[in-house]
Amino acid sequence: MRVEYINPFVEAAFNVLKEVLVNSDVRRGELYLKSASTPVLGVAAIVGLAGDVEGRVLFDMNRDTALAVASVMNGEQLATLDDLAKATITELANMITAQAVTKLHDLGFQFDLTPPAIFTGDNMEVSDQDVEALIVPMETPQGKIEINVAIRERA
Amino acid sequence: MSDYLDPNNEELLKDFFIEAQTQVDTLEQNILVLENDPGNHDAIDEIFRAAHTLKGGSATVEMAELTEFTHLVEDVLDCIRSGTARATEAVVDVLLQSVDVVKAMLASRSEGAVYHGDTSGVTSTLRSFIPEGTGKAKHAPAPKLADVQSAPKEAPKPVTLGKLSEYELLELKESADPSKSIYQVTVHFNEDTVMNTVGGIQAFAMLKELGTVLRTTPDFESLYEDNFFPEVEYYLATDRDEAAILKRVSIPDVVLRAEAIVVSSGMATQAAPKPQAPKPAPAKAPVVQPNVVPAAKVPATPAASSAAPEEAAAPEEHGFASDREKDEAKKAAQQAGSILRVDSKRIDNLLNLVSETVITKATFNQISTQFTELQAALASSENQYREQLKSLFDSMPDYLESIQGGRSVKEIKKEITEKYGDVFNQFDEFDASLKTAVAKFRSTAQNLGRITGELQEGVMRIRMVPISQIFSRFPRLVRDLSKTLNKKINLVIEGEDTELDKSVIEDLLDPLMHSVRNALDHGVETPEERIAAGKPETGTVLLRASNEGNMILIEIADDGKGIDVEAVRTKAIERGLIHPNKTLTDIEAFNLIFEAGFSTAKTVTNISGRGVGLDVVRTQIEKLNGSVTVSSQHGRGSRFTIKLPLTLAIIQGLLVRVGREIYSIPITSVIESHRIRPSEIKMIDNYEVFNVRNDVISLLRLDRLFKIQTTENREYNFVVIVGTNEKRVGLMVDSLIGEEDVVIKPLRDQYTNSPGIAGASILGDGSVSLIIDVSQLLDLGFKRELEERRKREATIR
Amino acid sequence: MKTKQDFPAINERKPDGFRPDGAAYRVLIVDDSVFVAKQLSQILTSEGYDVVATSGDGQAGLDAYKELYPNLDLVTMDITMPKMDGITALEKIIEFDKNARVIMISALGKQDLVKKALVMGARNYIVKPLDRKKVLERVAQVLLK
Repeated sequence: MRVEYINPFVEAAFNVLKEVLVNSDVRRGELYLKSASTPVLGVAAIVGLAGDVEGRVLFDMNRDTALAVASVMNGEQLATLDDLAKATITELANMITAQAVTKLHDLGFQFDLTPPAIFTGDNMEVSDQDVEALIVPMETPQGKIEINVAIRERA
Repeated sequence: MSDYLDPNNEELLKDFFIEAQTQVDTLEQNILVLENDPGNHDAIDEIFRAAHTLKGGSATVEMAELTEFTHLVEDVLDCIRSGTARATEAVVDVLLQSVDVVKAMLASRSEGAVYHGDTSGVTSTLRSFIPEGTGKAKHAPAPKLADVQSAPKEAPKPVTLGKLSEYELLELKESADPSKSIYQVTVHFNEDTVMNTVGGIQAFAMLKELGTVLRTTPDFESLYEDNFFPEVEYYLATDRDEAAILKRVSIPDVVLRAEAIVVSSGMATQAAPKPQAPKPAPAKAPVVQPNVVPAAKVPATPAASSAAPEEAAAPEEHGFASDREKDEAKKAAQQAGSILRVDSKRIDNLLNLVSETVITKATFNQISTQFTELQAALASSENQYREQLKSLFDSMPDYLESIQGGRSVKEIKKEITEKYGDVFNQFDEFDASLKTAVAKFRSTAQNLGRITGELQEGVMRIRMVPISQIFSRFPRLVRDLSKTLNKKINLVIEGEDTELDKSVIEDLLDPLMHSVRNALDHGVETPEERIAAGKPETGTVLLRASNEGNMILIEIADDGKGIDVEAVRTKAIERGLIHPNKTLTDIEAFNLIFEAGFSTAKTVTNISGRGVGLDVVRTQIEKLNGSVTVSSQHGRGSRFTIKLPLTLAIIQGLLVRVGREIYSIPITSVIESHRIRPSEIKMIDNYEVFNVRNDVISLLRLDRLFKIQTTENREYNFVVIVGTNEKRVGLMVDSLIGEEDVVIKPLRDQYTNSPGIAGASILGDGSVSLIIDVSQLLDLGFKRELEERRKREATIR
Repeated sequence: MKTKQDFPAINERKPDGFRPDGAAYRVLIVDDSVFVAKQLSQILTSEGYDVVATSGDGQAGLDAYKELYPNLDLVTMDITMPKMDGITALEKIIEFDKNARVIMISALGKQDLVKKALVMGARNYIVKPLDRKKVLERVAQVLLK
């Protein structure tokens, strides 16, 4: 996993979050490599990548954070993690990944995104085989969002 | 010429145009001969004669500009003929230019207008070759040419328009609707828009709604890729004006600014603006733009747009043909185009056959009478038979009684036999006569079959024209192209006597031109490269036509650098057409070059490399029920082979039964047929396939495709494998009936859109059989596959 | 309360969403994300447009178009959707009504698909994340052409 792949995601996440969370204080935490299996915080949006590079990007947060973020994005306080809220988080994942992809295109990598999927539940875990995963934690007033990137060049 | 030859006589005009075209062709061919052989007296004589005939003919129909011009050409030729001038390269060049001028003048005239382009350049060059004092004075006034010096600033040499050469401009105009104007629209794009590479295509889409975008610079393929171009030129054929175009293409945020200039004005048809209207004439009218009218190549402003009396540049009345006259002239020219020249021997042959049919008809009449007579005879015999029988039945009781009364049985028997014996022979005569009549009928029917077959062939042969009709355009094309490309090319043409149906010929020109252009541009290397490769400096392009059974074969071969399979493979991977790990056989690589958007050209020239050419060639050839394949040797050359069926109207079809329907499959597409058991059908990925030797062929069930009821459980199924060697599919039918000549009647109803069906035919018993369009079916099959796949993917998501 | 009538001097722009004859433009939104659909709908309705329907995938969008035709002025079409994606739906809508006005909504990075859509007949495109000003500009442009 190369640094060139990670940076675009970090930048994109930063930009998009700042924009949609209406210029709130968004900060990037320390990057770290994930251990074998990581518990998922409660709400995860996953976007697949295929092409010159392949893998997936996972946006991980707990329910409260998800709700808070969705509320801000919709301009109204949402009570539960309903379809609208989920769609909002999905859209967020989409936007971040799309921006990252554009940057990667500029760097010369050709590939495509799959439409995102959103998982909610308790006690979920995500594990990867053959690919290292890197976590970029983003701190927002609404809570922590972990961006979990696992991509590699196509063999 | 006598007085009562009316110059506007339609017949006369028609003849004139036909003859003029012939003369122009002769001119061109012989000038090319002269180029290679400056001392060829026959050629010089031919040219002189052709120019002379043109001069005379044009004078008769009072097309003074033509007369004047061809007179000048004739003068130059006379000098060459008498030796006072030599046929140098410069002379040949100007002669060819003159031919173009003549063509343009004829074209204008055929639409009822007078050519107004500036011919001063060509005329002065022509004059320069006539030594002082030998030019013959001609007293016929020539006000038309002298007056219309509308673009005096222009240097007499051909001008390149923006980035287009003369040739391409002409090409553009040929491909466009002559009634529309062609604009060069330059669009400047904003680099800062978010998805800036989309701009080029967006502008294209906007312009497309106003008319036809003939080409773009950079080319369309590049626009489609992920590149940002700050400036793009679009060549648009439209009947809208400049303002409308600019409004359309000025997309906020995306486009910084745009300009549109007219490159060629179309024929404003009956839109002659009301003479009183003070409104300025539409943008088409100011065609006479200084940097737009190259010396002698662009057809003239039509008269109609100068109908507004305000226009000071309005030419004289002679050019101002009324709308009606224009129409007639146009009709005359068009009719001239669809006239066939036929060898009278063929007509004689047909007459013969027709008289034979008349005889056969008489014979059938006779037979008909005979049958009527036989019917009567049968009736009478029947009557007699019945009567005898009745009499016998009636007499029965009497005989029985007499036996009871003591008469011997033997006696009775003898009596009965004597009296009623001839009952057995009652029908013999009838039998014999019937047999004779039937035999006669059969033989006459056979005869008729033979005669109609010959008639059929004979009529078709009338429509056959030798392929030299299109081949003859290539020497000029190749010459011009090789000059542009700075390559030395020798064009060899073989088999120009091979004949094809006229309609096929017309549709063949384009694909052939593309292929030849392709060979010249990408195949043959520059002289330096060739020498470095140990080849002779001059490349050879072979254009050959031949007959092969029921097919026509056209080959375009070059001894150039051949197809680089590796480059093809790389490009295909780049474009996502194949998986990087897939190894390509040579043949597969060759076929890839026919994919849309494919071009391994490193640089795109104005000639080709757009990646649009070869797939169009393939589509056009397939439309003619033909096929195109390519074979190549890297470094040695390539050969494109086009196969076409001899006739379009009648094909040999394989009749198959599906349910209660009968379908015909063109034999040319049938590869083989099999009888298989249901157990041999395997499923891969949700499709039915089966094994044929080493290949797996996918199956298409015609009953399902055409929604016909059949009995599903049969012991055997018949599969007809159709397609080409590369793309195949197996059509599953109920049974095979046999081969038949099938006359194609097209289904031209605009409401019927039946994919997979090429037309219909009426079988001998009067029922209708639909003819299967194999290439559409192949596509359909694959489309269905893709759809199924997408559906499945969607449900997985 | 002060209303527009109280400030006649202010050179007010009429909200874009209304036709010259006063009726509102009718819009169909086709998008598989409830969030995006909601955003679009909010932006459009705030400017006077009448969002008559929202469909969650291409097939539903096509059906809705056919039902609403000809009382429909504009369609916004998301490019990536399940069941039938935006490009296919666009194709089918144009097949059904060649004068259909469709604007594509796309995420960044889908240039190819946007180009394809434009060539196929889409009038314009809007990029996500949705910017209110841009959305209104492009929609107005398409409707006024």
